[in-house]
Amino acid sequence: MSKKLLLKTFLLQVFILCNFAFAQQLNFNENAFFYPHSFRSGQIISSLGLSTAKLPEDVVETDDVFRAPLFSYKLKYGLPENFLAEGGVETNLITFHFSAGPKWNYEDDKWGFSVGGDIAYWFGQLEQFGFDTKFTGWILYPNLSAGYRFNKFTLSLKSEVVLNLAETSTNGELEISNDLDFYNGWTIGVYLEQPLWKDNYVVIGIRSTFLKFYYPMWAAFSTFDRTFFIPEALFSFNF
Amino acid sequence: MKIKKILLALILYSFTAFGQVTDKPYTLTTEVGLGYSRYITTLDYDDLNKNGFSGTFRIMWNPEYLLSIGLETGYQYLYSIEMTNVDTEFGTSDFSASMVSVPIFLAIAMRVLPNLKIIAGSGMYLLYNNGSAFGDALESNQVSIGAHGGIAYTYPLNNLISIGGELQYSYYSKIQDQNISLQFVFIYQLLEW
Amino acid sequence: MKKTIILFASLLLIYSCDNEVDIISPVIDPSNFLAQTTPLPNSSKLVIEGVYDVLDGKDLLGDQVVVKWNRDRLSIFSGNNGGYLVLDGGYLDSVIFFIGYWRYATNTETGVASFYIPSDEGGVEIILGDTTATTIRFVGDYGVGNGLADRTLVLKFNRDFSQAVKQSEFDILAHRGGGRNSDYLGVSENSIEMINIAERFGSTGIEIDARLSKDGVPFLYHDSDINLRLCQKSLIWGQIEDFTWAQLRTLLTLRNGEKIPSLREALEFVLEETLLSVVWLDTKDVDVVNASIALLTEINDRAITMGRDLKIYLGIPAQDIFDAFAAYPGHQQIPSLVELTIDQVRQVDADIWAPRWTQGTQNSEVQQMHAEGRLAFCWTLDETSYIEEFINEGEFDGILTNYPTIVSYYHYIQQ
Repeated sequence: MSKKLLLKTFLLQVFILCNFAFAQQLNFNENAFFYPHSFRSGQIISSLGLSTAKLPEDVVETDDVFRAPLFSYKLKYGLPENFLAEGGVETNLITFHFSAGPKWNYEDDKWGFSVGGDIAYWFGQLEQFGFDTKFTGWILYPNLSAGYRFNKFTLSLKSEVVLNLAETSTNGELEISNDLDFYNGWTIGVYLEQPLWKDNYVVIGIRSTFLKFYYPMWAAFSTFDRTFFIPEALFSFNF
Repeated sequence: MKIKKILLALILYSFTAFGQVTDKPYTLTTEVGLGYSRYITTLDYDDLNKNGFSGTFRIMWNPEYLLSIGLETGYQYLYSIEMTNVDTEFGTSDFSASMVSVPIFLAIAMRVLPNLKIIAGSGMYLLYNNGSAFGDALESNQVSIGAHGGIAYTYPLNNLISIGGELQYSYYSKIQDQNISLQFVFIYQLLEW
Repeated sequence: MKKTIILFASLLLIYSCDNEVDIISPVIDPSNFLAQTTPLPNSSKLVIEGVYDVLDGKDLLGDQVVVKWNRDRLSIFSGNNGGYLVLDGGYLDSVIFFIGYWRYATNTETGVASFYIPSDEGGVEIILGDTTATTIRFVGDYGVGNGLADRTLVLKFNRDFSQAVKQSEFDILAHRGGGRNSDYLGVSENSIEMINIAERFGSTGIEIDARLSKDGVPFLYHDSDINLRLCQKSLIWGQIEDFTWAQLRTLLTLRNGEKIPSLREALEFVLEETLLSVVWLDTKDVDVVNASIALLTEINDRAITMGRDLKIYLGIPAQDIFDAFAAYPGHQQIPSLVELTIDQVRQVDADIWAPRWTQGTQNSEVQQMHAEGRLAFCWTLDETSYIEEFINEGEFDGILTNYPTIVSYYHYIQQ
């Protein structure tokens, strides 16, 4: 057998192997949302998800049955010079929370970092069950993220400080600007991103929040002047 | 000529080998676990029996990557106790009480090594409380939100069957107690596509 | 793999955080000094009441406070974080001494507090019951947490309560017998122990929750099931009405160690051991309506016989209970309170309309109720700014609240 034929066969094998290998390589830069990677200008990645929270028993007065589901849609839009714009909406149907803000990303081999700040406007309204109530507020979220890219998944950490800018409540004919502390608390979350099937990436996340005022539970009218630990679990699809 | 045939076979094998990995990447498996259960509680009774039996039944969808998702149910013996001739303001009475739980969960598993996976689930536990006091039955049911985590090692016997063991930790939010169970696991592949 | 495990282990640490609250119970009068004093006569107590300026201790209590006697304690209410003091007192020679504690209603900050009223700054006049006394000065100090009382507290009499306040029959109703478990008052909601201290928070009445055991005994309990919010961990779990009274009384302990009281025990305690004038008996289930009516009728009759100013109202919070009450023979003669619409109030000829506060002051509806000879309460109002608005702008005859100390401040400080 000639050496040329062996070589050709060998190269053909390598070519076939590489095709399959590349076909199985995971493209986190096109699919990961929480992992802080660099974006091309104009690149968009979205994440649609559902989170649940265990609300403090002292506030909601049920020990475990109540879980606060929150639907969320978030979007990242790539800008030049490692910047991106992020926006999102969260809702539990009686409350809506809109946020937007810039981020700056830095990626180094398998590590990614980002720093940013979001401003949010939220409102809640309830006119049943004896309520004639509206709440509105503005919140600021400075945030930091770090992530590591493993071969088949990414793991990211995101932390935010939660700052109250303003809040107003209306009950019946009475409207009052509520006197909340500027520093509300902070959050830290861990997010695991990986493909579930084909090119469909999912996020499994857990977030701990340490807050005096947790906006999704505005209808509980918490008057407690203390910080609560509120854990959240998140499952979302990236696209 | 013989060499060429061998080389051709090699090339064709390359396609089929990878074809085996990518042709039918999805499987549906059923997992059955049986084993020992130990209740962890702050209830302070000397005669409280916290050892029992637990079982798990899961149906899991296993796509081509690391994650699997599915549904889970099972049975967990939590505790039982019997006390006799206890003095109360209503007179002397015998007491007995027991509790078992049935989970109804959404389960997620992640393969971290070829034969090792981490399992997590959340959903609800149906808690069944039985017993008697003052000659009257103590019977009541309750729903508790809960979660559990575990680690499982399984070894494939063939394409369809794997066996192994699983260590599970369960948390019941309603009663703020926990349970640890160690189970023998049998996995059977129902479908692949 | 190692990095993943470390990260997930860190997560578990974060998740081990919980919302446990550290409760401090300051040690009050360890030397039992008050045992050497003589209790103040009732005529003296009224002399002390009024609005006081805070000369020293504004950080703790703000600029002004309300000083008010209740059954067995002197209470001082401030507008600062719902702050209040509860003090026991007596006199020795011509000096009046008070020892007790301060607390913020909206969190668990607390500490010891003590005062004396010098003989030449009101002490003599108060002991003699001289109602013309206007120079009254509380001189004292307070501590924080378990610390000693090392910060000065001085109050100076400013004025009496206004005539409008003195003539008002406004009711300050304490929720769940006096407060919730989540207020960490050291006693459990809907317990005898809670009812016993309700007046110290300024309450003139209480709201309690009634349920029925499997064998027909009415008792106090808010939730529909056995849970760790209300009870210590026990061998029984499930729906509360699935158990007999003996089982509940023996096998369950309330969160702070008390036994579940029967409704009879609770109402008899209110009648015989307190000066509360209103009980809002919230019926949590249709099954307890008849037993509640029988008991409240008996206790109301006994109150009349004793000359005791007390009325117990059957609370009707939901449609099914309304229907059961409307079907009860002679329901028009039963004192009742309806949380639903004013038309439904009229339908059963209820004494009191009690809407949720979240619909605003509803002054025109309240005026309609007044025109028909009925009262109006609202529930359960805890937000300080709204309490102030409801008292100043609203026309309700009473507010049900978890913070009777805050309602007391804004009510008594009105001009």
